[in-house]
Amino acid sequence: MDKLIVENLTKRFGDLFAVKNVSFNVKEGEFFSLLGPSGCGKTTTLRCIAGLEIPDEGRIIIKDRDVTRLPPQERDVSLVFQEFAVFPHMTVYENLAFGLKVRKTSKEEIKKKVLEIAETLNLKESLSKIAGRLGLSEKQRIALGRSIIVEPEILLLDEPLTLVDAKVKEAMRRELRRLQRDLKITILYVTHDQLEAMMMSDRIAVMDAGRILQIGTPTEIYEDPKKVFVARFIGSPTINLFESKLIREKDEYALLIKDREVKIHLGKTPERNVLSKCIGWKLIAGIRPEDIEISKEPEPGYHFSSTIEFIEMMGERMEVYLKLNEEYIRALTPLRTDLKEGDHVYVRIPLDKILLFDAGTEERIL
Amino acid sequence: MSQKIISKLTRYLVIIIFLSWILIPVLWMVTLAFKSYPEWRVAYFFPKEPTFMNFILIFEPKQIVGMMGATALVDPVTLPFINSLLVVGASTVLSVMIGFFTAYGASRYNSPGPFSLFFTLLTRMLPPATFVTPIMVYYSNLKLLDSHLGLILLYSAVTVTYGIWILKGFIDQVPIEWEQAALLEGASHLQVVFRVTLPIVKSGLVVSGLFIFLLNWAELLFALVLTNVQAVTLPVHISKYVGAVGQLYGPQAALGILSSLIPVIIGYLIQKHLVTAFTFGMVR
Amino acid sequence: MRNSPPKIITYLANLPLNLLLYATLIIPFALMIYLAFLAWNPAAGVNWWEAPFTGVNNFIRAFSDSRFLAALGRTTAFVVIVVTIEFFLGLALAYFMLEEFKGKKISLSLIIYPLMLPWVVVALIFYLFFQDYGPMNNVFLKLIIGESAQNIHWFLSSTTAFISLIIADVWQWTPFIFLVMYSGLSAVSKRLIEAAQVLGASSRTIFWRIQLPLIKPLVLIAIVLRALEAFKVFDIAYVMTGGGPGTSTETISLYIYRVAIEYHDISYAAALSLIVLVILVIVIRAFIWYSFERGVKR
Repeated sequence: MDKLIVENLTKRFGDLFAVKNVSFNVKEGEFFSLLGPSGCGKTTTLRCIAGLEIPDEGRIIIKDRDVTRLPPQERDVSLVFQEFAVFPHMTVYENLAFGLKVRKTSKEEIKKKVLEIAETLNLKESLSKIAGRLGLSEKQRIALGRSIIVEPEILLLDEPLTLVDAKVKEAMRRELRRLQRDLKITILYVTHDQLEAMMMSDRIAVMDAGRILQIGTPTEIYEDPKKVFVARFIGSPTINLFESKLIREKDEYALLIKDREVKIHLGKTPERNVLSKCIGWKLIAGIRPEDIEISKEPEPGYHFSSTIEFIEMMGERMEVYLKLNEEYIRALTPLRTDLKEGDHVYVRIPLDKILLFDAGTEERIL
Repeated sequence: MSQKIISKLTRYLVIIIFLSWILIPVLWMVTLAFKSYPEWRVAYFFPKEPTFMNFILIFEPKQIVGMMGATALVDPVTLPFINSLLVVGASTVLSVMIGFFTAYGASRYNSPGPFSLFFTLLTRMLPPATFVTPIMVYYSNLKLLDSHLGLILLYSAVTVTYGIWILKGFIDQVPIEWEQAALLEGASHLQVVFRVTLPIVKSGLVVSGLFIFLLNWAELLFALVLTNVQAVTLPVHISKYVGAVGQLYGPQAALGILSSLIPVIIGYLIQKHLVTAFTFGMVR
Repeated sequence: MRNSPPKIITYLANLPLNLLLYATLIIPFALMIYLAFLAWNPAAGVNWWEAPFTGVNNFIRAFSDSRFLAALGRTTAFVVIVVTIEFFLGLALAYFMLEEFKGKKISLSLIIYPLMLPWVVVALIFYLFFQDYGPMNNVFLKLIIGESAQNIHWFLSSTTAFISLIIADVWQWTPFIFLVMYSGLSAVSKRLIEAAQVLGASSRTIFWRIQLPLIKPLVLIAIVLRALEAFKVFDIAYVMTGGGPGTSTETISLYIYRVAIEYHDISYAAALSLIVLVILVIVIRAFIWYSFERGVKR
C-alpha cells in the first residue's frame, strides 16, 4: 500500500527550477532514498512533502490524503533536519515530549512514551539535561526520538548523517536500519552519499538537476543504470566511461573503444537487432573497475594489453591504473602480490558487464 | 482558512492603530507650527491659512512683544542652535576618538582596567541629576561655567562609554591575523591601528558617532545647570519657551520641528544599528 | 589576544579616557562626598572650602524629608508602571510584526521614530498634545468616551498630570522594547521554527514556547536598561508639568535639581544625590548578582 505518492512535483525559485516533474511512490514500511548531488532538488522535494515549501505544480498524497497545500502542522509527517535543530533551551525530556504535548496527549501517556523512546535510543540518563549543551550524537538521537514518538505516517530525514563523524556514521546507519525494521516506520531519506543510500534503502530514486533519473532497488540501479549519470554516480570507485563506436564485421559486431585502441568482439549476440540499429553511432561504453580482469599471462579471450601505471592500495583491495592511450582505465582487484607498477598485463572485459549508452541518454546491453 | 484571515486582519489593525498612535502627536505639533496666531488654540489639525510666521518668530522674537503683549522676551534661536551644533559636534568627535582607542585596547589587550570600564557604564546608568551638583561647583571654581569647553568635556565623558562598547564590538570582528601580518611586515603598532584596523571599522565610527550625536543633542539637564547666556543649547532654549514665556504655541511647535530635523535624519541613517547602539553593543 | 600590549597602545587606550574621566567626573564625585557633610550656604558669599563641617546632618534631614521620600516613591512607581506597560506593548507589537506583510519595511521605520527625538521635543510635543484644545481631549477622549466627554485639564490635576507623563514616556520608549524583542525574536533560527511546525505547533505555540524563552536574557537586558533610563526622568517632568501641580509630579531628578539650583542648598543636594546613588548601585549590584546566580544554577 502506498504511504506516499508524489505526482509531477514542480517547484521554482524565481527562474530556476529546483524540482521539475518529480514523481514517485513510497510503500508502507519502505526505506526509500532520494539520492543525488548537492543542488539536485532532493531537499526541496523533501521540504515540499513536509509542507515547508508549497510546490508550484503537482500533488502530494499521504495515505490517501491530498496534503499538497496543507501547512506542515496538519500533515502527520516528521522531519529530522541535517542540523538536528533540537530546542536548545528545553531538556531532552521536553524535546521528546514536544510533539505529544502539542497533540494534547495526557501527562501519563507522554511519560510512558518518552521513557520508551529514551530507552530505545539510549537517552535515558540524559532526560533531564538541557538539550543545547549536549554533543552531536545525543542531539541526533533527540531529533530522531522526537520525530518518531509522534508516530508519523512517514518519517523524513534530510541528510542526517552528513555532520557526523565517519566512524559514528557506520554505527548510526545500522541503528537507523534496525530501528526502521523494528518499528516498521516508512522512511524517506535524502542523501548525497551513494554508499549510504545503497546500504540502507529498499529503493532509491536518483536525482539530478531537479529531475528523477531512475527509481529502483540498489541492485537494479547498480547493475542496470538507465542513464550515464546514474552509472557514474553509483559505485565506488567510479565507473570507467569511454567514447566508443560500434562496427560490423561480416556477421559479427565489434566495439571500438577510443578509436580503435581497443577492439572488443561481440560475436553473434542475442541483442543483434538492437545493436544493428546503432552501427556508427556515437556511444559511451561503461565498465566498472570491479569487473575488469587482469592477468600477467595472455589468457585466451583477452581484449587488450596495457601497462600498470599506478597502484593505489585500499586495504584488502587495490585500484590499478592501466594506461590506455593518454588516459587510464581503472580496475579494482583484490590484493595481489604479483602485480607491480610497470608490469605489462593482459586485460579482459566480461561482455555481459559492458554498459552501452547513447552519447545522449540510455543504455542498451548489459 | 478564515482563521488565517482573522489573524491577518488583527495584525493590520494592531499595526495601524499603533502607527497612528505614533504619528498623531507629531502631526499635531507639525500642523501647529504652521498656524498663525489666531489659530493657535483651535482644536482642528490643519491650519486654514498656513504660514511660516512661527519659524520667523523663533529667529526674531522681538516681533512677539509687539504682537501679543507677551511680557518676557525670548532670545532668538540662532545662538542656541549654533551652540548645540558646536558643543555636540565637538564632544561627539572627542567621544568617538577616545572611545576608539580605548575600545582597541579593550578588544586586543584587556587594557583599561575593569574599574574604568565599569565607571563609564555607571555614568550612563546613574541619573545626571545625582552628580550635576558637584560639577557645578567644580566648574564654577574652574571658570568653566557657561563655557563651550566645559560642556564639551562633560558630554564626552558621559557618552564615551557608548563609543567604547560599540566600537569594541566592531573591532572584535577585525581578524587579528591581519594586524599580525602587518606587524610582521614591519609596520609599527600605531601604523597598524591607523592603517589596518581603523579603515575596517569606519562604519562603526559612523554609527557610534551618529548615535552619540543624537544623545548629546537631546541633553537638557547638564546644559540647564551649567550654561547661562553664552553656551546655551537648544534643549535649554526649548525649555525656556515652554516655561517662562507664556503660551506661544506656534513658535514652540516651530522650535520643536527645528530641533528634530537633525535627529530624524540621523535616526534614518543608523536605523539598522539602533539595537546595538541603545544596548551598549550587548545585542547585535 | 596578546598579553603584553606595546607601550604606545597602553597610553592611547588608557590616558585619554582616564584624563577625561578624572578631570570631568571623578574629581567632582569626590567633591560631592565632601560637600555632603558640610552646611554650606553659597548665597552668603562663602566658598565651599570655608564652609563648616556638619557631619551627617544632611543625611538625617533627608530621611525625614517627606518631599524627598515622596519623589523617590513617585519615581519608582513611575518606573514600574512605565516599564510594565512598555514591556507588554512592545511584546505585542513584536509578535504582530514578526511575519512578512505588505508595508512591513515602512512600518518598521516609522515605529522606531519616537526613539530619535530628543526628550525635550517629546516633552514639547505632549505639552501641546495635552492642551485643552489639543488632540488628546478632542480626538482620543471623544473616541473612547464619546461626544459628551468633558475637556480634561491635564496639567491641573495631579492624577492626570502623572498620567500624561506616563503616556509621553510610553509613547517614546515602547519602540525601544519592541526593537530589542523584535531583533531577538527574528534572530531565532528558522530551523527551530520549522522543526516545531512539522511537529505540529501553531504559530502561537511557537511564539510562547520557543521564541520567547530563547530571548529571555535579551529581554532582561532590555528591561534593566529601560528601567535605569526611566528612573532618570527629568525632561518631561520639567517641561510638561514643572513638577506640578504643586509637587505631585516631581521626580527625584527634578527635586534634586530644584534643591541645588533653585534653593541653592548645594550640600543638601549633594547628600540627596549620594543617597540616591548608593541606593541605585545596591540595586544594580543585587540585580547582577541575582542574574549571575541563576546563570550558574542552570
